[in-house]
Amino acid sequence: MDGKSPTPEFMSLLTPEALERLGRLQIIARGVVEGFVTGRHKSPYKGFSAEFAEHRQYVPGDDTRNLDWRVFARNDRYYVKQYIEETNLRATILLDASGSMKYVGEKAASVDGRSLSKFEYARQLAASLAYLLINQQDAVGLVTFDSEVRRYIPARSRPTHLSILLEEAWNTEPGDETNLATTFHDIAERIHRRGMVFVISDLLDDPDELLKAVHHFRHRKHEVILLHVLAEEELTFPFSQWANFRGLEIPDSAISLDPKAVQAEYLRRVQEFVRRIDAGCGQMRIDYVPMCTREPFEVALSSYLAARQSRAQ
Amino acid sequence: MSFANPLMLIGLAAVAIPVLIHLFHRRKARDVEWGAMQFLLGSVVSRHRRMLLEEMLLLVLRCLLIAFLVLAMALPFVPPGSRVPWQVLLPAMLVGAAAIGAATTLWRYPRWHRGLFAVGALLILMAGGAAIAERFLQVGVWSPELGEQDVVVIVDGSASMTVAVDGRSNFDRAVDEARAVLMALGPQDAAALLVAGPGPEIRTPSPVLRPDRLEKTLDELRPTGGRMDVRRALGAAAEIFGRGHSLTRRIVFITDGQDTGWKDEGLADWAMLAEPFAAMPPATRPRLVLRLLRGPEEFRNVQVKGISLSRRVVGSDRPVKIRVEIENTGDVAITTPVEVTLRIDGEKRVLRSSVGDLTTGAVESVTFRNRFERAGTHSIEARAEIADDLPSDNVAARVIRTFEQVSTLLVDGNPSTRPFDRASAFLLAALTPEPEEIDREDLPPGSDEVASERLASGDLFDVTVIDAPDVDSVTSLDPYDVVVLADVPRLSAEAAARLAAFVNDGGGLLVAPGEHATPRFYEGWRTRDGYPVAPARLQGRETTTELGEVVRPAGDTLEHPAFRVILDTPRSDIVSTSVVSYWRLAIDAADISVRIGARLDTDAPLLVGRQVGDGRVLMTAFSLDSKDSTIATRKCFVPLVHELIMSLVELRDPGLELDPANRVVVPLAAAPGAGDRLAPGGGGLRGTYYGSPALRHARFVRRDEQPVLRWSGSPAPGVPADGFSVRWTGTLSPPRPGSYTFHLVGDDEARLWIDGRLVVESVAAAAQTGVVDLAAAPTGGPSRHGIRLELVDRAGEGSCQLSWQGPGISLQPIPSTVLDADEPWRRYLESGLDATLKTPSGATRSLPVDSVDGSLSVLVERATRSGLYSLELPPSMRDDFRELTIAGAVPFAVRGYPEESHLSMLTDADLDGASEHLDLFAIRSTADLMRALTGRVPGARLWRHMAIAALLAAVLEIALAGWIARQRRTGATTEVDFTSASDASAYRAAALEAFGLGEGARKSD
Repeated sequence: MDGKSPTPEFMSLLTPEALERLGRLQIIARGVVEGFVTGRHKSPYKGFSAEFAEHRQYVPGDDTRNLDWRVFARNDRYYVKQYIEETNLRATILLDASGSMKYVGEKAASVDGRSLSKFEYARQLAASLAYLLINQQDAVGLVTFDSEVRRYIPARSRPTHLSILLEEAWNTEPGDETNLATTFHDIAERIHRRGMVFVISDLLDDPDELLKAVHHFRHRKHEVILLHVLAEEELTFPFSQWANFRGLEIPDSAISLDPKAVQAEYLRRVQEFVRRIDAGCGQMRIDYVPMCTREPFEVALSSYLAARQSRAQ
Repeated sequence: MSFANPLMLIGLAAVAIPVLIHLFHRRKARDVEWGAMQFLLGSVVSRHRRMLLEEMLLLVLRCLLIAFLVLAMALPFVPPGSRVPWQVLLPAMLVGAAAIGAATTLWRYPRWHRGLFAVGALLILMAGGAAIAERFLQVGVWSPELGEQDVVVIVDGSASMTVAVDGRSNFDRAVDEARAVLMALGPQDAAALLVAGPGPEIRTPSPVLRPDRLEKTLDELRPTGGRMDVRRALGAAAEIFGRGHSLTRRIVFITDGQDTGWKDEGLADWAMLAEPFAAMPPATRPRLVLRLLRGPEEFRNVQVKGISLSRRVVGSDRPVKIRVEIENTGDVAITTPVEVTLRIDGEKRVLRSSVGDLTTGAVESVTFRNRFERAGTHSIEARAEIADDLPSDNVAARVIRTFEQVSTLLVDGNPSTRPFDRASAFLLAALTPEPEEIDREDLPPGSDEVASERLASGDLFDVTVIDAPDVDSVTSLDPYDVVVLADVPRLSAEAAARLAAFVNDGGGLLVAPGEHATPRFYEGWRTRDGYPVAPARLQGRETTTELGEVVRPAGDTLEHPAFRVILDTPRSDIVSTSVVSYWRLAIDAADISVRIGARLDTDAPLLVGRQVGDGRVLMTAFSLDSKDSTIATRKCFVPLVHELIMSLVELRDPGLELDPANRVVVPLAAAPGAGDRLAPGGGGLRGTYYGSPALRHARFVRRDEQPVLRWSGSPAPGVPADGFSVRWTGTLSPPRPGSYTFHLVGDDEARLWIDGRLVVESVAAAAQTGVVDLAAAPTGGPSRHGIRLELVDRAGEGSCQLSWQGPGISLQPIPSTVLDADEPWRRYLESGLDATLKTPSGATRSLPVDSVDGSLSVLVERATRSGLYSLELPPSMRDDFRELTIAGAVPFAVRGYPEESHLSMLTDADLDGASEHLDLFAIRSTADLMRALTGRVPGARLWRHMAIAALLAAVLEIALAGWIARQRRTGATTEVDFTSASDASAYRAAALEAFGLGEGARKSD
């Protein structure tokens, strides 16, 4: 099947319909990113482009194509030419693959008649973002994590990079516990170049620790966009019958209770949590984007982008 | 408490329903794979207590609701005398149900929920078990439905019921209760009434339908007085039930709960009380509802406990001490002196004395001294003159018979010319004291009893001595009260049979065998019915051969009542008697009529007694002379002989002291033949020959064809030739009624009475005539008339001739065919005479003179009240019953029950004991009684309370559930504001437009 299939499986993340919608979104998105870039400093990053930036001593492993033979002729030393990168943006998408993301809400948006789990929703979101960014020659990286970083794909802007990202996103299965704070610190250490960090997560962790970790990104001058994905059920707790709540992250944790009894308290806690994140993000000038899986992710994404664009103008 | 519908208790299992629903909900709980555990966990942690509380409250309420419902349907009730208090049982069940509910909510904590489950289940099981056990304890006591039933209402009529409590007597109260019972019964129920006294007084012999019709009978109920005989009352009830129709039987016994009558001398034989019902099939045995009325708070009462005489056989020759015991049976001390009056023979002699302080329970005695002037019946009535709560026991009465003489026949088996060699010599001496001792009658009070016996014995004993070979000549033993065989070797067969018959008819016999006695004779001596006469066999004769070997009576074995008088004195010398030789008396151990009255110190019997028919036989181990022992020389010998003789006489009591009963028989004369030892024959008259001219010292009785006599010598054996008297008695039946002339010639004196009226008197052989009108019998048959002829011969020849002349009869001696010596009382029966009864309360009524078991008697109904009664005889009878009557009336006493005056009540232990044999339960309130009777269960309201509680629990449950739901809903109104801070709705709308996902499109999604 795989061999015969004209498109790789992971491409289902960008279905034709989705692509069509994304195409439209791209229009909006381009503007957004442009707007985002304009009015800001020049890209400090160096990369492949027509505009030369400086020389650097060759170290083995550098692309020999970049050797400046003229310098070699002059000094008998190998130098590598470095160019100012053309790209404006290096974006890293942090995709939460923790167990809690497995939750499938009944009211979640569906694809092919199947309700999306939070992770699937987040994956789609990540895919869409990656597609949008790659399409405008931005570099996109992907980090999947649960209790630790699972996979780190540095940002590239080559169009082929998209498929790598998609494949990675496709093949990732949510599993383990979340440990957002340490993971974020870890990732913050790894991403050297300033850029945008998209965090797609349900953020189910201690909000203070989380905010501290996010602040780490800010400290490194990254622009952070927090895409907070929660299921409708998690926000309204609509259960009325006795239910056995089984923790997705911790295998043996299960609570059997009458949901009605805790609904109010639960909602209060969620509310407080969301406020806390929201407020924290506001302080750190982080874009906090709550996304409910009920809404199609394109809509959510585009409305965010639109809002961002208007803000930039 | 118990349940009318105990099967419903199984419904308590329904407590499991809410539990199961709860558990089912949990089990059915959807599995939700949940991500946001952190909020959930937090919520659960913070809400845990409250959730648990709410859940627990709800479940406990639901379990209680079910429990209340089930309990209401099981119809709980509290029977009186409940062993398991409802205050324990109901809460135990409810707590059990609640515990099960609570345990369910603690499902998460296995140790807790298991423990609570166990506790709850255990509580319910135990409470259920207790309720069922209670039901079995009171098996069948309360059944909710009865249908028709037979009810016998027994009202205690004993004397203690007349005690006033709060101004009304308990008997009146009992009648009210009985009325209430009758009114409470349904029209299909049948009821009968009886008053329980010494005998049951049955008011309705069989159960009557429409019990309310018995109400009039209730007004006629009067207390019977005396003691209640519970067993007979229950027996009467059993008989009534036998005539009823319903098999649902119930006895309502209304009593003050005094244990007299239930218990005998403090011991209750409940099994015996249940006996009247033993014949009934168990299912139809009546239930005994015992309604116990309240006794008085304070009981002030003095009773005359008893009258005792210092001697059992009283002669008219000597004074007797009469001791009256006064007891304070109340619970209040009597501080004022109580005057005691003693009335002898009615108002004839009144003696007074008084007793001082009577503390509670104290018994004081007052001693009176009286000498009865004539032989015959005497009444003694003692009265404590005090107003107290129970007046009926302030009087006690006795009727005694005093003897003029005790006729004793001494048969001497060792006739000798030397006076003191005779076997009867010392006995004769003991029974006929020296004349100078007789006169000293008036002893100072407190003098020695033995001395007084000796000194005052007078001529109580009329002794005839006869040698053993001459015994055959005594053809009638009738004049004698006691016969003594002093060392008699043997009797002829005829004499032995006559003596056996004499004893069998109530005579006394004292056998003192000595060296001449023939063991074979005594062993083979039988009555006509084949019973042995001698109480023991003469097994062998022991003789102390060696010098110094002494056999004496053993002092601590002298049990026979005859020894009581001589043992009372410290100077008694009976034990110093030395016995030289004696018979070993062998006793048939299987013969229960034989008693050993005393033993020698060799353990051989000294005195053996036996009851033979109506009489008594005593046998000593040695002769009562100087040959076998030194007893004749002891000081105690005289009183001992007196007492022995008297103990043989006392059975010949007229029987005028009776136990209270509904029917008592007052005997006036014994059945013909029983005391009449005439030779068989037809007519004639009964001639009694006296050894003195004053018609005293009866010596001989025989049937005389005609009282036509002439004697120059002794008219009969034992009768002197001069100075004797004869009395002929019998009945005369003239061939036809009319006027008859009687001709009488008597020498020295003769008198004729017809029907108690002196008709003719002849002195010194002067012929006299008397006319009497002999009327026809009311029945039309031959009339009978009492005839009595007395002849006194002082000196010389004695003669008597009686002739008559009447309608169709020329002057001629009266033929023996019209005379009847055998049935002297028949004429009283045939003429239908009435006696007038006077009861202790003063009421009088007329009663017929009747024949009961062949003896002339008066049947008295309802002689239940203790005290002195008198039966006034019609004038025509008085002559024949001179000795029996006081001023023409026969007194008789109905004994009281001293214990009836003690208000000792039935205890719970008694009731428990009774419950083992009788289907009995005690009730102490009228309301309970009504319920027991109508089947309405006491404490029946409990089910209503349960139902209300169930309703309340339901309402509470609904309210609580609603409140909790509302609480949750209002809490849950907070919605999570999950949108970005900036207002992005416009963009969202735009985006939706852009994607073609407008409002409409989204909805269709």
